[in-house]
Amino acid sequence: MAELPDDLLEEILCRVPATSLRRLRSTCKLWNRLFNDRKFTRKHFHKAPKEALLLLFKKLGFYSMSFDLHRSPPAKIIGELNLIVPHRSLDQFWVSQFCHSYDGLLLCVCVNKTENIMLVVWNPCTGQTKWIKPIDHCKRGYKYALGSYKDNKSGNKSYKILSRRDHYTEFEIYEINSNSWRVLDITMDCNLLSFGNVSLKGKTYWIARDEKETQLGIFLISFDYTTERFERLCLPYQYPRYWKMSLSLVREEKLSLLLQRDHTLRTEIWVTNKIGDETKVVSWIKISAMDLNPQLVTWKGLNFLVDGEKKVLVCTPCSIKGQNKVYLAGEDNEVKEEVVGVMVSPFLLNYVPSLTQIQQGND
Amino acid sequence: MSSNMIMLKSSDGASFEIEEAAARKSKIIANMIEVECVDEDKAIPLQNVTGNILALVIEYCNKHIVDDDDDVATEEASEEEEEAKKKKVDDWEAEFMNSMSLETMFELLLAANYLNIKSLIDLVCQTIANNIKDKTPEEVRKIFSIENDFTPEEEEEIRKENAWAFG
Repeated sequence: MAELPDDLLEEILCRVPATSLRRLRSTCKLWNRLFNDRKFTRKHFHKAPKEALLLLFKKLGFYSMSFDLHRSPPAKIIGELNLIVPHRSLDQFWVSQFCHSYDGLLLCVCVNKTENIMLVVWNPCTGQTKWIKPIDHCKRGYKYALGSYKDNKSGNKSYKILSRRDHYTEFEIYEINSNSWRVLDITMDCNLLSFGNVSLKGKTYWIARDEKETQLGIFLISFDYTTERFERLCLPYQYPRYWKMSLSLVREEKLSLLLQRDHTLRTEIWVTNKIGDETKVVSWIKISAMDLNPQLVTWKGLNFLVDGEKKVLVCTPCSIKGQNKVYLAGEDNEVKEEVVGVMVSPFLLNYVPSLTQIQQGND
Repeated sequence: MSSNMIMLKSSDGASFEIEEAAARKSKIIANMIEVECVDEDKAIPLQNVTGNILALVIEYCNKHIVDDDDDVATEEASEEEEEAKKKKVDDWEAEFMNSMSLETMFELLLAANYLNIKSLIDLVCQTIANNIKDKTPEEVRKIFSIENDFTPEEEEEIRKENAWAFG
């Protein structure tokens, strides 16, 4: 076989999907080095085919799951990964909140029995982590979001964490580049509803309500990590109060929304157009309307995701009669119920692994 | 579009006639044409490319020159038409690569690199990448004639770090 110069070898490897490259790291020292080389990982991010995995979160990590409605059972656990906690004092930690940034990074909020909190930005594919002290590491009740922006100085992509204490209107922001927290100079004129958030292309999205002008109903709101400003966006239609709502991502391209208008269990799933760096207008298409199991009536939210082929997976934070279940529906809107044989936390993610590096800032 | 024909000569002495427009897919040949070092009666000698590989390169260039012509003619084609056309090219490329052994792909990649045909480099690299993505490190070492330069301890360490499955 002809021998290839290193630049051509690199051209080939930057087109191998992230999880395969992870496995092939032990081929030789050069390949292993490339796996951690910032220039290469950036090129890889743009050129490698994107994989889409389904992750089901647990106490300190996640399960990956395969999902095929034509197979029995349709949902199957196929892999598992735990977050490695390096400090001994963190032994008793578990993850109370997962956030995800578009580009393969996760933000985990770790809590221990004495209510100590540590944040960690984690790339599960490379194993890289960065541990961050929260602004107030003894108090719970903070919600977080992770997002990216282009750093003007270096021209590279960098990350920020947005945090807010429940029921407070003030936001704090952490820059990974400078390793510091600061208060965000912004006053919120609406209420973020606590259904969690999703991040896509440098923005984080929540569902929000204007408490003063209630006739505006419920809307979508985004935070741009470059300008550090919020922007209101429309939902599929105006409705004063929904029974249940949840946001999720379709691959790393679109937002999706689960809506129940009342407690009849009639559930609508909506998906947006592809959202790019320049997308200004969000439009919605309804892809599914189905009836969920009556046992799914809980006071807690529902988590769900939609895959590229319009299959829907719904999961509930509560176990029903001691069992964790997921609900699956295809294009025919028929709902299948499936017991997951493991304990999971109510967080599902349509995850695209990457070799994205977390800059370690000034520490 | 010019339909001038030019001659290319492979390292093993085979001559090929090719339309100038197709040959211009190669930045190296395009450059030679620009600075007029192409003598109309003489074939351009390509020292690093054998006849069987050059035939593949020419097949690729001919196919893509037709597509580029189409682009000019249907500048205002609808999105569906664009998509259908792209699919046709993708299908052709898949078929084209499918008929090749890995060894031929490597040689074709070296030729595309030497001739500087970017889209062909991209195509061959992606095909090789697809080919190795499910292979083991041992299999990949064999394909790329790579020597394992890890000590057994180092290798074990990396494998341990990798001990997980996304599935």
